[in-house]
Amino acid sequence: MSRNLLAVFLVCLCTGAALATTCTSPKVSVTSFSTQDATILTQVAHVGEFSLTCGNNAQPNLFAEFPCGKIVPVAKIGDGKYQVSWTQEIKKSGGGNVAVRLFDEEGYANVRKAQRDGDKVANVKSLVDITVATKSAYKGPWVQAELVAALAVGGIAYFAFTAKSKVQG
Amino acid sequence: MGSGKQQKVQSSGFTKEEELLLQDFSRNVSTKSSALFYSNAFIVSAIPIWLFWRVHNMDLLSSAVFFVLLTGASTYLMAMAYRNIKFQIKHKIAVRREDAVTREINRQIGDDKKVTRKEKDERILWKKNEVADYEATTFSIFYNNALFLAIIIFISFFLLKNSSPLVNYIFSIGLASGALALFSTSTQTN
Repeated sequence: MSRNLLAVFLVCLCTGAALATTCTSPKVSVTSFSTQDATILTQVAHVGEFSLTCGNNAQPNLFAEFPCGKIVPVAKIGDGKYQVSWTQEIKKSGGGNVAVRLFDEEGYANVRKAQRDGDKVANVKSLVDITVATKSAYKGPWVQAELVAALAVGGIAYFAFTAKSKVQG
Repeated sequence: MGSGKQQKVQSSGFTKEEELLLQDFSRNVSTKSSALFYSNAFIVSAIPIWLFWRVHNMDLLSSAVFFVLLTGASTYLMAMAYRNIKFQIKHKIAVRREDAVTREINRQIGDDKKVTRKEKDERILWKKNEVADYEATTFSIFYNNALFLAIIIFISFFLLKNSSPLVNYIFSIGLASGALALFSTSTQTN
């Protein structure tokens, strides 16, 4: 009898704990930063910072899913503040909005389950979706300075050469 | 200045007119011209030092020996190229400017009876020589500088862009000034 009571108590405790960390009516505000100068880099970084406000003041651990399908844990950087970051090849980074789906632990468990079962992860309901605005980095001038210098001085040299031929002709 | 008398210049044995004619074809340059050539050649030879110091990141002090040696050699070669190109084009310019110079001298002298025909011819010859000398000098400097800088930029930024800055500097300056000095000695066969 006492064993059964203990089991019921434990189940109630776990359910209560689970309900307490589930974020209700989440509200998100996002700020973002991207590498500005990529002239001497091989990859550019994008950082999305967001604050999450839950109706029940919960501060769940979050996981982020990127459009490519990769899922990474989200760093918690303060009270209700989170940060997600990623790097990209310079050639592929063109700037624009990146839709990131956020899952809490329960959602992440569902994602893992969907992956195991071979279901579509897109069908798993996310906690909230955010849009991180990324900017393209400066990749150097369109035309190299030495090419401009070579063309300019080449033009002058051509003029000098033809002028000499004209004088001698 | 009698008509039958020829003014003999004692040192060379030529008349004044002959001297002027010889100047037209002479390879010798005046001291003033020579100073102009050498100062220009020095400036244009030293300019690439800035390029290799600031753009190709050569150390100024540790490479000073190479900078000094090659700037000196390049100055000499460039001055030689200036002289040769000037010699090549001076007479051609003189021929082209002859009519204009004659017209101008005739306008200046006008109906002055005191000036003899011989003196007028001498003045034309002298003026023509002066104009051609000035034009040939400035054109020779422009022509060689333009080609020198074009060759240096082409060699240092495109041909030897993957070489070490020192090798790049030595070959850029050496080839540019050497090629110009060499080609300036060519003779036209037309």
